[in-house]
Amino acid sequence: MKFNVLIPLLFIMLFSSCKMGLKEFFWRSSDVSSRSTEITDIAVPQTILSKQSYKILLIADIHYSDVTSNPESVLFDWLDSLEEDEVPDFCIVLGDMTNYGFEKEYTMYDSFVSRLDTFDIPVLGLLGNHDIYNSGWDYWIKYVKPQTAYYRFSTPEYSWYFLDSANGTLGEAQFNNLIEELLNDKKQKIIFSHYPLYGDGIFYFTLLDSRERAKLIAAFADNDVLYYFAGHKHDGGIFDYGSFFEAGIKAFVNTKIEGYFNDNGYWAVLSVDENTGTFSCDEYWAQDLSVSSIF
Amino acid sequence: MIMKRCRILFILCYLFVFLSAPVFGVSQFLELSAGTNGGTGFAKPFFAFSLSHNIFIKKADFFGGFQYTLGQIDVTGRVRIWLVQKESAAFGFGLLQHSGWFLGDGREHDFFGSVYGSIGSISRCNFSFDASYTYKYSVIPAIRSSVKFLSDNGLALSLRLQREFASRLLFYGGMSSYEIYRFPLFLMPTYFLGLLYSHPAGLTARSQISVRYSDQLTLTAYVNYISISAGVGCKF
Repeated sequence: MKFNVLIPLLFIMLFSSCKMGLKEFFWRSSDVSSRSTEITDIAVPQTILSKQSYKILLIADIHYSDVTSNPESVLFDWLDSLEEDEVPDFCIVLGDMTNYGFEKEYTMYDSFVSRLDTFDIPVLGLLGNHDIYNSGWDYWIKYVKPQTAYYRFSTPEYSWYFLDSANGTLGEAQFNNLIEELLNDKKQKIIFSHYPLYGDGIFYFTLLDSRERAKLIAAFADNDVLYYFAGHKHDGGIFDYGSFFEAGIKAFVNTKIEGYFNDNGYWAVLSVDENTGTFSCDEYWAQDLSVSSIF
Repeated sequence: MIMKRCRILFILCYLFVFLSAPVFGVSQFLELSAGTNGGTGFAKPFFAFSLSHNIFIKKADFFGGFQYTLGQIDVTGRVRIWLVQKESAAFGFGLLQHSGWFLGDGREHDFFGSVYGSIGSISRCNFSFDASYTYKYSVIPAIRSSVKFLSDNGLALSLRLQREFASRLLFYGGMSSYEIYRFPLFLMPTYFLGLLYSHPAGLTARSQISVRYSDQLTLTAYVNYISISAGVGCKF
């Protein structure tokens, strides 16, 4: 990772940190060890119940707030333009729905979800670090489905895991439970988490405990994990571990740091065919709707 | 291959200094310490035991030590060269190498290139810091057939305030993004407070409490665990 990317980001965080709940710098009441200790099994999204092949809209890091913007109008225009069979069957938001964790920001996210619902696209959310600022967890469980941060559902061939990494770690209880669940689950697995694992050495925006990272990578490699999707790092990052593949989804929020980031956001579409066992993932740039393949 | 050679060179240098120290009559410090942890963080080691050895010569010092915790063994070596070494100010640079074995799940090796600084008399108030460029490479057997190792570049920082009372008691505290046997990738800071008692005969006793956070720069503020340790040492 390039240090010259980190420095502007550090300044941005420094100057905006008061709104990030600086009073909670040393302590937050709801941490991962109280939020996420045992996995919750949820129902498969209704829209893929009878399907063997389907598309999933992946959106990361929306950062709803008064001071940010995102290309949601471009996204909805794009959805409008699609043929019925091209419309994604459900959506996964990979964390950081809000910028400061305020209720007003969660209501903005709620409006976004309601609008996706008009396209018959149900939405599942992951918890991100920004979402828990200013005690945002209380609002997260109120506004974000499925109202839990550590959960799983199963399709005929695959198990889909959603992890709570909003504190930059899984915590001991979630980690131990995850390892046990992976061992007992004989299906192939797809994992979603806000924090990347490694993402080709992206330095700061990963799980920072290298021992936790090593144990997770070993567990994923040994237990039929196929893909690990993450957000958090706004310009993405991919890595092939041999037995599984990590894909960082670029941020949906409009970001502009001259020379580092483009000024319009991204989304991705994951296409799954359970009959043939094939996966493909394409990334869309809101600037010109150009498409590039992640894998 | 280069990393392996660096590690071997580090070990040979340390052994040379360690074995030759009695011959040249340099001052040394040996400490045995033990600690325990409490908290809800990831895989906290319940018990830790460490043995650390320091050698001090004019304008330089050497450190070597190991720590055993449940499921992990760490070995660290460090050399510091002091360009300025006065009672009220010091400045130097150094190299550090750490190897950690996660028993069953891989190993990691860290290399630090550091600058060290210190200002103020210890009898009044002494502030010291170090800042490092770091390189970590991790070997994970489960993926080794495809990925030989993972590499991470990083930064590390440590700040410390200390003051000595009645020439016997040293009170210290500070924060650090790493510890001598713990090397997260970046800002999982540890805040620490400690007390060191030195007996005129050269024996020392130390106790320390440390609070270890997860990724605090993103303000997620999660206390991984709290560590309490105590050690006895001797200067000779």
